[in-house]
Amino acid sequence: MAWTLDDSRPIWPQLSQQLARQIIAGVYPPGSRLPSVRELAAEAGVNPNTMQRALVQLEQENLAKADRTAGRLVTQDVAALEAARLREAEAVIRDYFEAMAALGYTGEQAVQLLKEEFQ
Amino acid sequence: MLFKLLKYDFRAMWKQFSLIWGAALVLALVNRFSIFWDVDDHVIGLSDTTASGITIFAFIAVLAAMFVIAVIFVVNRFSKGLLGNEGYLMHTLPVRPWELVLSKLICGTVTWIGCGVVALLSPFIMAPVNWLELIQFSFWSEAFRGIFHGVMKHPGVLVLLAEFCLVILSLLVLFIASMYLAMAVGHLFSRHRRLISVAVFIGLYILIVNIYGRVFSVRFVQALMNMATVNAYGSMLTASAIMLIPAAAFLAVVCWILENKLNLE
Amino acid sequence: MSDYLMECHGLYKSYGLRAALRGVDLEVGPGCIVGLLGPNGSGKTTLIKLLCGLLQPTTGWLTVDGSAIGPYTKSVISYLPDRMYFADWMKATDLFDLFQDFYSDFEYEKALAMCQSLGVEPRDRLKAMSKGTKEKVQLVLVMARKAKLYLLDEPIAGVDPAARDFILRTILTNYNEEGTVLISTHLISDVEKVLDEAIFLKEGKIILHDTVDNIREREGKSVDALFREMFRAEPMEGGEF
Repeated sequence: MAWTLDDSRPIWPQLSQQLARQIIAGVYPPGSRLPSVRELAAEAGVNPNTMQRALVQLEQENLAKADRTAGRLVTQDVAALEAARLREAEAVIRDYFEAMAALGYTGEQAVQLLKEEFQ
Repeated sequence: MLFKLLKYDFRAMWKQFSLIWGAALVLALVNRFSIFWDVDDHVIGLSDTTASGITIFAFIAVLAAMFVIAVIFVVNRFSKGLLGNEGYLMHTLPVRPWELVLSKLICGTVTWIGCGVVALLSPFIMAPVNWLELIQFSFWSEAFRGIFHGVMKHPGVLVLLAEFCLVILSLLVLFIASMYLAMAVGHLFSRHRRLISVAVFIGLYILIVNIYGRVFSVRFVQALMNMATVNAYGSMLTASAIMLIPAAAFLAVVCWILENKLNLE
Repeated sequence: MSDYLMECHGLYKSYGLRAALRGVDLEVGPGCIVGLLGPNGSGKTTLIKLLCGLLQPTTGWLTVDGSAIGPYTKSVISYLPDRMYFADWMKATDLFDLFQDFYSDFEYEKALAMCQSLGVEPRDRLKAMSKGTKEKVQLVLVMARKAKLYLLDEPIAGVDPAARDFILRTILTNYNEEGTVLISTHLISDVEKVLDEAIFLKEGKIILHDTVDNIREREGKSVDALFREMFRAEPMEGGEF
């Protein structure tokens, strides 16, 4: 799993976003156990404290829950997962419109091109 | 911790010298049979072949090499082990510098004693003695009985022998301590370390010989002897003390330098 | 007893006329990974050697775990120097035995496991190993200890980029979480993701000591970018690169 991280911004929000995407995509299915902080940190090549902060963020977004015996479990709350998926989609859409505006397209033109591309 | 250091120092010593000591003793044995040939049970003749010449040469070469290697070994164990790259390991172990120095000193002294023992044993091994006789028990039991009785009559001999060993030991320790001090002083400088070490060593040698010559003139020594005891025992003990005191001073300076002025590159 | 794992106060170290450290004040707590960042000659190695007890300060003092530098601090510090420090004729397992003898926190089984995952045959003689493999052995020796303070002097310099990732990953996987890792390097972009805190050392003085996240938020750039900015070589002053 390749982690793309930008050094010029705090890393933990990027980590929690990428973990959220992995959860939504089903890499970590609902109810499954997330790897330990150390394992995830080593995999991503980041400081465990940073990864811990990212995981706490996931908990605050209700995407994961700390379990006393099993470490951290992915939520089984379907509503929370849908809300997260929607959040990510909105971020993608925002990025799309920003990028198109930078190219000089208006909002309507951007929507039009999108429809054409979809057909 | 000192014992652990000794364990590793002795292991290094054994690795280096087991082969040489073995070779020396084996060659001595070989020489016994190549130089002398047993005519019969009681007569042993001198053989005159080139083979014996070669074995004698080999033996002397090994013995000479042994002594040279012994000196190099003691020097290197200190300079490379404590002042070279290995020093990064040694000085970060949870031990005090005096333990490091003492371990090297003990190992170095034992190494030289070992070489001395091998050199002393060799003539006995090479001696034109009939080995068949030697193997018999009666020879040994008689020899031991003779020695035992001799010692019983003059028990002082044992003490004298022990003190003599002490003197030799003190001499070795003083010599090694001087080398360590020379190397430690050389370490204080950033350039020409070897040159300075050699110069310091020569300086120490001259110092010891001259000061001893002057301070411990015959009358002074006799006065000391009278103070200590009235016979040969006392003189040897004083001789040992005379050598061990500066040795201890040298080692104290070495430890101070290692503790306070270490600068590994 | 302070809360800090490592403290330096007014630390000066000069070699003859050349000053390597000019007044360093530093406190580092437990459980974090700290980068000691600076160009060559800035005093990083000097500071680490002072912590190890390989050098004595000219003035000032330093403590580790509340104690002055001595056998106790050496027993809780695991040091990786920038050079090879063992006799060639030994085998890796001999070194493990040595470490087990002297350090009560050395974990033999862990060392063997690390050798396996790094592809090192511990029963080989060091003489027969390549330079890269020897460096791995040294890394294993250091990381297989459950130390309170790990001092890694340029662990990734002179190593190809693929191996750098590997080394950092090995460090991340094996260090004692209650302990602190101090990594000194001038290759900041490779290590910055791994750091909690960064210390910038310039010509023997600390010009910055902050958490990495604070730096990114405040400056809006990576630690590497900030470093390049602050240490930009001034040709007119004959600065070092």
